[in-house]
Amino acid sequence: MATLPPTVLNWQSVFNMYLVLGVSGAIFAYGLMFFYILNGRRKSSTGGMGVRGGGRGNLLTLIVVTGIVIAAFIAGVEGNSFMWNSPQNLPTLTITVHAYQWGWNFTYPNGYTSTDTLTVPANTTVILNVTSEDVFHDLGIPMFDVKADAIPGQWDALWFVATQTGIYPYAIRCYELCGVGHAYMTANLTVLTPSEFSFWYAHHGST
Amino acid sequence: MLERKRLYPTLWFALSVVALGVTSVAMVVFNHSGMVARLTYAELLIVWAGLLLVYFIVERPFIGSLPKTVGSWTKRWLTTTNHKDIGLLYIVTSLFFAFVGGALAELMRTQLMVPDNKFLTPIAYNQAVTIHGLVMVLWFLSPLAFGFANYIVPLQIRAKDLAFPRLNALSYWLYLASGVAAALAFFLPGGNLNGGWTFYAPLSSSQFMPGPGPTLGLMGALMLIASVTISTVNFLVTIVWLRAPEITWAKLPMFSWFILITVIQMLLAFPALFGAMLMLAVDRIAGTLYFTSVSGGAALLWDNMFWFFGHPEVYIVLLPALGVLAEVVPVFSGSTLYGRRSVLIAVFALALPLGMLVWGHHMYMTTIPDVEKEVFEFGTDAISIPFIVTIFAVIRTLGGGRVRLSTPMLFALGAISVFILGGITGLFLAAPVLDAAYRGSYFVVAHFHYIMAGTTMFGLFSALYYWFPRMTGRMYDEALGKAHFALTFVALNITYFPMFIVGEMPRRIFTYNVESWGLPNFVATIGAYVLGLVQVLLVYNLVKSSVRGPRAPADPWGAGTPEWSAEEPTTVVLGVGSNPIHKSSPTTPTEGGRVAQVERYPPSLVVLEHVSIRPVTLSVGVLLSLLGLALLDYDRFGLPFVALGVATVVYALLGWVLDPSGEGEADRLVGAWPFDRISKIKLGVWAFLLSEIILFGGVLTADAYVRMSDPSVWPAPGTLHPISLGAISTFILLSSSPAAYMALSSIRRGSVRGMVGWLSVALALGAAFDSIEFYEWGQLFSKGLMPWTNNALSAYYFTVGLHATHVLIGLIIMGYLITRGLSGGITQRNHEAVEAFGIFWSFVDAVWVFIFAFFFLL
Ligand code: HEM
Ligand SMILES: [Cu+2]
Ligand SMILES: [Cu+2]
Repeated sequence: MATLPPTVLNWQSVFNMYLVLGVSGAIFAYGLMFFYILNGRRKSSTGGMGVRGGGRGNLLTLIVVTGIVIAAFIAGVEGNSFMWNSPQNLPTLTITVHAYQWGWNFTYPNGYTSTDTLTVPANTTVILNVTSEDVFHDLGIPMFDVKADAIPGQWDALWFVATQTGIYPYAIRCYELCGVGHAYMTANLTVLTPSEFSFWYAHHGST
Repeated sequence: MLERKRLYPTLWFALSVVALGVTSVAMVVFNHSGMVARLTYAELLIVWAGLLLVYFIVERPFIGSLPKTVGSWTKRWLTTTNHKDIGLLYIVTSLFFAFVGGALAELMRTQLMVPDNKFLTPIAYNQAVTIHGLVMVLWFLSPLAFGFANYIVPLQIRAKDLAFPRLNALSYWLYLASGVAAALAFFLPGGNLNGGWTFYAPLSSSQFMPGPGPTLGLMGALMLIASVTISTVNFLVTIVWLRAPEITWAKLPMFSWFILITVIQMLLAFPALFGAMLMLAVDRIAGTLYFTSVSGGAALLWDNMFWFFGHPEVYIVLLPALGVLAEVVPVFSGSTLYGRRSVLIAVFALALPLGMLVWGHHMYMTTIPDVEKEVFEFGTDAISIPFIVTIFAVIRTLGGGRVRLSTPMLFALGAISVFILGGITGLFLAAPVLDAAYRGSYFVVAHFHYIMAGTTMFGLFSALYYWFPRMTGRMYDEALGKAHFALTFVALNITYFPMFIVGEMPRRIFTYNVESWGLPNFVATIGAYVLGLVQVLLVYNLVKSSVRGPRAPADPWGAGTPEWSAEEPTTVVLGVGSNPIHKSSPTTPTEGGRVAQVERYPPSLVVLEHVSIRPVTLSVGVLLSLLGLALLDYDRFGLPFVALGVATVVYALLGWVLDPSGEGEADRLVGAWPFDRISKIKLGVWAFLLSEIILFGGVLTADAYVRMSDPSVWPAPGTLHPISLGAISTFILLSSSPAAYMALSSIRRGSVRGMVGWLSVALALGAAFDSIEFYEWGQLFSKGLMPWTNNALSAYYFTVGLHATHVLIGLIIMGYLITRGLSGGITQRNHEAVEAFGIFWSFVDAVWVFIFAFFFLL
């Protein structure tokens, strides 16, 4: 079960593409700059004539860059739609999250609630429907590269699939300043195997 | 060795600085919450600052080489309206705010140096992070840029001064007073603003951030926006109107071009923030519900309004620095800007419209529809294109001739280097899928510091060195300058690069418990200490060189732009206006403000200055009123402040309109298509109205948003507000417009009596309108229908109140015009004021139609 979570794979594929574009762009820009500087240091006359053909050169930049940017946009859009549409081929567990100053309240379909730990089964699509009871918060789980704002009066959603069981302390954090308790607004994540989860769920079921 | 004479003053200086520092640190470390302790600290700080001020007034260390003043030195700096003086005031003040913001940053970095640190309390940290962000962006970078703009733009366009010098002085003093307000807020109960520089609602409402302290901080920001709006209009009119005939658009130097583009963007962005902050302030003080009501969509409403301003704001901060690059890089590479015209097109495109259309990229994790997010993503990707075109043009410029690596050029190259990194990381942030990892994290902090603390600050430092010889007539110390650059550049990267590495750490947390975040944070803190420390080199260099630097030649860099060829007077006489040194003009002015004959002073070197004490008085009055208003929220104790403040404002305004203005007819006549038929004042009014349109547009859009989020509480037409009464008041207001027009056409025909008569009619109608509005308010109050009763009433009171205030301002102006008319101040040939008023009044009437429809008919 060593595969990466699908949201992370998706994130990384977009990231890698941006990284290649970004790094090559940066190398080109820095290279050009240092080339001109070193070259320009060697020239002797102070009164240069300026560079000719600026308008055309800028047009060329425009065309090349537009191509690159469109490629980046398309990659981004593909990544977005993966992130915004939860997979249908796996069992699904929907959990409601109420953010409050300063913590998270996870409510399971059977009515069970927890504030310090989110317990989920592996290889299952977990959907979090997030809202807030007071101020703006943001629920983020860096290990899955997912986030959703917790906004009073609004319902936001995210999904992830955990691929590796374990206990992850502070895996869930708040990413929007929400008052003096912001730094402590964390929760742990426990990923169980599906069968362990069923057992756990039955024992913490509706009472 | 210090000479004996300088020993005591230097000691005085050192002691007051140390006392200031120790008191500030003690205040933060002990962080008392009681009123008495806070006020004691405030008093102490004020005393130390006073001592420091005495040093500056007596010793005047900075002005060794500025033109000498005839008469009182203090009076000169308090009353000056000269653009160079104001520019210097802006520069020095903004560097002071950099020190304030920097000190807060050092406190934060100290707190974050190691995991689980206990140096700052959470609330102290949250205040520090908020005020640091606000001060650095709004009170340091932008004002520093506008300091240069003040000094340089009129020289580059060969104008005598800005279009409205007295208003320019007002901008500066309001800016200073707004900074004082924001600083004072630390000492009021509730402490300062502590919800981040983005003020997210509803955290910033009085429910979650109670007390007069945050309200005062907010007032400070509002006051700053007022200052910004005034100077926006001023610069717009100046650059459009006052260019000398030989400075055509094609010859306008790049820095002035970029300032023009910046002010256009400011004109569009700041009113939205003003509207949002005004709503927030009224929420806090009068209990309206814009940003507290969940059913009104408070949080997302704020998000939209804030970022509609916030994204353009980052360009507003950046563009002047890019303008400096476009000026400095060609000069130091013996070249001209590569593709100047296409660069201008690119920059225009990114400011307008692109810059105004991408605010949603700050809302990728909210609940706005996915399609919208992708539209914003597309816009954001698109906006990187003109940036890349611009920066490549600047790089290509380097290839034109011999490259000289003097300090201004080093900073410019430094700015380009960090811009490449900052810009590319921005492209990552533009993709919602990637933003899922970055939003609210240190990756963002690293990104925007590369742009702001990197590119922008370097660009402006470049300007500081570049124009230093122009401003002081002396050269700075090149070796120190280079050392300053090298150390700053290295320290900046040591500070911010690690923040990319801890990209997963949430921003604005006051502490963390993750071991692996420890090292990058430790390194960042060391970098921050070095970064702060090496700025001593800058200050030392500036102070030392302005007093003892070698004399600079007229155009030390061989730039050839107009600002280097303008002459510098050596003596300044404070002549016209309020508080003149010479009550009657001692001189016979000839063309260009030059003075032909001055009693005791050598002729060609003297400039007769227009002065006015009103801007200072007015700003102090506004500060007092706002302080009082903020306190009212806490206690009656605010009332005397409000009373005193309002009295001061009225006194200052009266003086303002009665003082001789000294702005002659001569500078009315320059201008080019498409503005050649519009006068200076009228263009100013139109520009101002554009910002008013955005303000009212923003408010009405917010009203509509609130309404659509929860239509259920909106009463059917006619139930709450009687339509007939509304119709009557609408009729009354609308009929005042023709009256104002009749007044204008009377004076055009030369009939002062007709004008006064018609203005009186308009005044009476306007007064009747406001009375009906307030009568209706009274009716509603008596039925127990308050601003906090429901969303509909809250929006009604705010919007109608804002409009009624505009009507009130119109009434005051009419009163003034009538008085002026009766005393012969308005004639057939000089009736611009009436015309300008007419434009404003028609606007106020037109806005009412929308408000009437929205609240009474729909
Ligand atoms: C031109 C200079 C600078 C500008 C324009 C600037 C701007 C900002 C802004 C807008 C924020 C966000 C505040 C908020 O989250 O509400 C911020 C945060 C911060 N800045 Fe700066 N800053 C500058 C220089 C510095 C320097 C020199 C340091 C370090 C010595 C520094 C350290 C920090 C830190 C530690 C934060 C808190 C980050 C967080 O927790 O979100 N800044 N700055
Ligand atoms: Cu939080
Ligand atoms: Cu933005």
